[in-house]
Amino acid sequence: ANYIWTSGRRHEGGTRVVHDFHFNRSTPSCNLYLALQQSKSLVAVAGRTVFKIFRLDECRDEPAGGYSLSDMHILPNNYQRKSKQNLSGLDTAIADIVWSPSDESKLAWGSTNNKVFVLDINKEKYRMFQCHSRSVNCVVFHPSTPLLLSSSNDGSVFCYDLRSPETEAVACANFSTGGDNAVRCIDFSRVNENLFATGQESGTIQVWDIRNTQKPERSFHAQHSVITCSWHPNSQFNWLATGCHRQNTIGILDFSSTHFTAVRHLDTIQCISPVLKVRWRPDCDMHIASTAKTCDKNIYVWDLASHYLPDRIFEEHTGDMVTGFDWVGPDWLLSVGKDGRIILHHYSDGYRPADWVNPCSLAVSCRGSLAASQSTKKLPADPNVLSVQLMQLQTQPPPPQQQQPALGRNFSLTNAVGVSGAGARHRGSAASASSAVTATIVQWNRTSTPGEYNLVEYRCPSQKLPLGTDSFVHLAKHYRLSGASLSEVCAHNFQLAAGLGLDSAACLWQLVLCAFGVEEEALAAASAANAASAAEASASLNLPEHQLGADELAGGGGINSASMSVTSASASAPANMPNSESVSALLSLDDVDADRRLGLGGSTGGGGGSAGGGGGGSSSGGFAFIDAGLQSDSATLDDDFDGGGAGAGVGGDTDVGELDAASAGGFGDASSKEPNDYLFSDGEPATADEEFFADGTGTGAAPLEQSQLPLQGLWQQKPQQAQQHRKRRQQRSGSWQLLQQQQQQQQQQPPQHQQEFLPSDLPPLTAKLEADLSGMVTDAMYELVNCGHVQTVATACVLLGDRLRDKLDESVAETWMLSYIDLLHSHQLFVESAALIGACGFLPNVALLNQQSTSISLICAACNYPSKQGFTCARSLCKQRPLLCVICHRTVRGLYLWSRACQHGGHFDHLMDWYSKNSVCPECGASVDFGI
Amino acid sequence: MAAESEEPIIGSYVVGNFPAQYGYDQPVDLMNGQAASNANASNGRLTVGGGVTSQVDAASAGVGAAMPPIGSASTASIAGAATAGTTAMPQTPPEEKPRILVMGLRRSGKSSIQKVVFHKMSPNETLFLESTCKIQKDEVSDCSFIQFSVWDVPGHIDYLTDIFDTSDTFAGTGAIVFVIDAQDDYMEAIDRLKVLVSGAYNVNPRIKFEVFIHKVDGLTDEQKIEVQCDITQRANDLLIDIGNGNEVINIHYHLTTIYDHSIFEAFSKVVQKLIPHMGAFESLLNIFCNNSGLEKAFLFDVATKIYIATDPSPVDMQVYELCCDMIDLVVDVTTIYSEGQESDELGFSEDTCSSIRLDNSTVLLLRGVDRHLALVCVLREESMDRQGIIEYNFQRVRQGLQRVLTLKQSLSSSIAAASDSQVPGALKSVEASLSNGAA
Repeated sequence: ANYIWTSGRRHEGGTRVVHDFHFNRSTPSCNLYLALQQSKSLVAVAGRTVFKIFRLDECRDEPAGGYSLSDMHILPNNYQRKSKQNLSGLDTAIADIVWSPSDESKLAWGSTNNKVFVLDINKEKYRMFQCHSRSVNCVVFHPSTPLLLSSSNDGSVFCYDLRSPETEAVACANFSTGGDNAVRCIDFSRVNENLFATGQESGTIQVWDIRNTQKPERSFHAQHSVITCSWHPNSQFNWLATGCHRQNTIGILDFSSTHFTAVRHLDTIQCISPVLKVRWRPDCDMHIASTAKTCDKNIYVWDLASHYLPDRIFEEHTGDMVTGFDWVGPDWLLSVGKDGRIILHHYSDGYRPADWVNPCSLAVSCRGSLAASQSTKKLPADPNVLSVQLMQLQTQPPPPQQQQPALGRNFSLTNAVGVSGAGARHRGSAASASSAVTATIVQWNRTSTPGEYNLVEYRCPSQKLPLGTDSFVHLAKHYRLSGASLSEVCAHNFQLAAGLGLDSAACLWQLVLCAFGVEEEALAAASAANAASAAEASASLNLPEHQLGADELAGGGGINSASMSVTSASASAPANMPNSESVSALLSLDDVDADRRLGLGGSTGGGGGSAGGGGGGSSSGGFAFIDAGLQSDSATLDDDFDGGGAGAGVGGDTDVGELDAASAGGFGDASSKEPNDYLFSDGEPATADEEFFADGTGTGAAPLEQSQLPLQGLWQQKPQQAQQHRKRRQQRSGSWQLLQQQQQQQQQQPPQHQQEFLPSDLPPLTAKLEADLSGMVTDAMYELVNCGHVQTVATACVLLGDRLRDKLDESVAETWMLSYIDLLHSHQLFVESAALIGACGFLPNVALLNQQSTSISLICAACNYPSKQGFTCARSLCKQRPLLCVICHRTVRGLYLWSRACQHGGHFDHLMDWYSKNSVCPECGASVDFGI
Repeated sequence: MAAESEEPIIGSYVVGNFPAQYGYDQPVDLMNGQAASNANASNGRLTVGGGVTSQVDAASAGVGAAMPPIGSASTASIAGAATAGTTAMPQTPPEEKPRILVMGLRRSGKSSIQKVVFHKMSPNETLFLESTCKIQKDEVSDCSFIQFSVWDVPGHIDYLTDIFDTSDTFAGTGAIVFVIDAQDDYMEAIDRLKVLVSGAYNVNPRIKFEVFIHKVDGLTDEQKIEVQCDITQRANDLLIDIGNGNEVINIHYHLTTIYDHSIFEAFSKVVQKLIPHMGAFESLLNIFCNNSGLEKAFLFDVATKIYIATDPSPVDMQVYELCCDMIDLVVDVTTIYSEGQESDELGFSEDTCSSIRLDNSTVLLLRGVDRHLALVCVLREESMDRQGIIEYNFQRVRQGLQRVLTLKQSLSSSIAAASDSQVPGALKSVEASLSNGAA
């Protein structure tokens, strides 16, 4: 009967109920508190109806070990007899109970009727203090001297000296905590035993010196409400753990800073339910146990190293809340709950949630591909098996591509299903991989020519760089610092680094290309989109008519609108063509709902198509989901990693393969369409569109067909209605024509539109993307520099310039730059160094290097007065002619050679002649040194 | 005419009837004048012109250095009177209730707080409140324990030098609630707080200062902590030199927003500090909880949903919200279906009772204590088996509560000490009479 079954697992390690107070309906449950002697020999358990002291004996004979509890009969009888006589205190709930660490026979408790009791179990005598005006919350002994502290709801903290005469029942000190906020907890510091911390319900934590009752040493606001606090038992860590029951958090504060007032907030553990009590696990510095105040009957042990999941959960208290617990040792935990059970837990019997977590991970590689891996089945709870297997990638045959867009890069989605494990790049899964995990890797891959596919390469980047003088000089001479576009320069530099076998450097270039090359393209796309939205804006003058039309069109409801956005998105796939963009905007006008969304999508640029897709996706079910996937593909056309992220969400779903096929096929179609084909050239929109969709379904892949079917019906339906409402149709076709005119105008003058709309806001998606990836870029830079390769990093810095300002400390960049310049100098690559410095406009300190020591101040040779302009003496009194040759005493024309020491000089020929024989100045005899 | 109309009405205003223990000594003409003008306007006995003249008198009696224009001052008083008039103050002899002043810069949310807490306005409607840019005084007196006096004081008026008579204002005040807009730049507010605290402290060192860091609904948890730390730090730095000698002025800070129950809870905390014999209430509820197997018990002021006392265990926000909602429900039902009640009455009495069983095996019990107070308990479903014991205990506790209340109300400065000794006696008798079901 002593064993407990939980979650179908039998606890054999020693977790067992050691005592049961048998609360039932006739004797209602109450809060029980538990106190453990420091020597772990006696346990006191107290509550409203319970007051018991147990002896805790170690079981040496049992194989499982552990402890057993036995009643100590000497005390309770005696005590209870007394209590009946003159103590009404025991009838009210005991709020906190504690053993004295210095004198093991002393036991103190506070009660909710404002009293504090101290009991000497040897003498069977107790003392009572009544100083508080409201319920006592916490009692605590000084670690070495017989002092007792108690705190109360009335906001007071009293200190009692137990050495005082027994008749005396007053406190020896009152700490003025300031106001009447309930003080919920006290704990003495393990580092300095004169210090103790108090936690108030208002969230204030105060640290007091017990010798100073006037003013706390520190007082600061930590959390919304502090209900429990505990100093770290290891005095090396000057940490205080505080539990907050309002926010369900445990905060870890670091007091070790030498600066007096600075308290560092180390960590916050987010618990599931309001925290009632925290206790550090002895001998395990990073573990802390907590119980919940409401809603939760478990004891959690958190590991500070990974606190998103509890390290262990003890869920043996099935009846009611755990109200008191303490660690008997690092492996044994004694707890008591409102259910009246005292349970001894063995640490290894705790439930480990981490065993049941599905390993999954997501990684973005420097080559622009994104990998997500996820286990497809629940793992057996066997953490010991950890096998890492090599990744095998299967690639599907490339989807046929009929036509390559002129500018836009094409993205294909390859679905690689392999046996996972992890490479070094695949950090998440390396950490969590256990046994065989089936992983799905979705990769967005960028190709520049049809049929060429980069696969994800999981190569370890930490190989030693084959760095030699030759490659350094080669790179220094051929790295380009500027060019027509960032992507072009990056590509050039990438080729260079890859050609030399510098994989890490090449990686960096590719990463830079991914991170920042995007921006430029997005900018271009945005300008195109803006032009489109301009057309839309002007078209919205005719909005009433359009809304009439929209009423007809939107009859199909959400699915239609979603599929509408599918087609518009796929039509907009070649984002470099403004026409197609405007078509998407135009189509979007047809639906009132889609209007706003796609208008938004259009205005946020090519990448913003995914925003519209997201909106469409949210409006309707399955179609829209595919739709979102499609759109994110077309979004990744512009290297939009955000869209890639959305796609990753899709990739988590099971039908990645379908999606992939759909996107690849549909995408090829859409890009193959010549946009002008389905523009409304004949002024009869219905037929034109029908034609388009007939084409689309003829060549499209199956999912796309599906998505177009309702749409087709819709458009077929339209002419009938149009006949019925001829007048309206005329209005509408009028507006079509107007739009068409707009488009034609726009076609004729795309550059103007671009210029006009270029400065307008950048797509927010792209901005976000940049922020995300630039962090990766700087990380890669740091890594590369740590490998000892500053050259590429410095060059990349120059190339990126201000774009890294947020992420990269200027002083760091400066250091890199200066060390690279030093290296260049030591290789006598002065030209390259000068070019580098010249390009360093964003680092003023470096950029000024080229200007340092480039100006020479001149002094008049005659009067040693600084020259003003050229060689002319600034002093008006000085009548000396400038540039006088000391040999021939004529004014020099042509080359003038002079000594900076004495300012005497003359004709180049004369002086060269002179100095070939002499080493002193002909005029003044000062020695002249020609040494460089 | 003015003198006649003043006499009976002064009593309903806080100005004329400070409890003796708050150190009030002499009435000042200025405040009487203002009260009179308010009262006159509310009663409609005087013409508007009369109100203006009395306002002018009041202004000339004050310092009058940076007076607002007379016209605006008079409208202010009329506006204040209008709201005061709606609360329908009974002209009964005053009870000794501590008074709470709500102050703060303009647009910090005082009127919203007032409307939400005391007038049951929905928080969303407060968006449409016009900003009170003039001094506006509003007395809320249908709360049984506390007299609230909400003063909207715009930023350009100096509390201490302008038309207020500080000694009079602050002497009868139990607590000052200063509202700071957390989403705004609060530097000016802190400066103003310092002026206010120093002025009020000099007049009445027993005033409790409470700062509501308001409108925190727009902030994340981290920002809340940050703002509170920052305001606390700055305010304490400024205030450190105000207290004389060792005495430190303690200011309490609350994070509040009208969009959840934090504003009610903050007010509860403030009110609890002003209630004498708070410990007695707490002990009573504690005894009640322990003997009846309750999880939590609140003593609510029904009109404002402020809890006046609770048992010593920490208050959970969710539980508190649950109890508030229950009170709303019961009050709504009683106001709709009670017969023969006046429209402004809550329809709440000591006979009111209700119990709600939730599907998470929790039961909410509500029992009326008197016209203003209700006891709301949270208990587990199992404990309802012993409902008879709970009922019996509740009757006893109600007697105890009423005894403490009468003690408090008969309290005057001369017998305060004596009554202090009576409270434990009352407690003991209640405690002895309670049944815990074990016997």
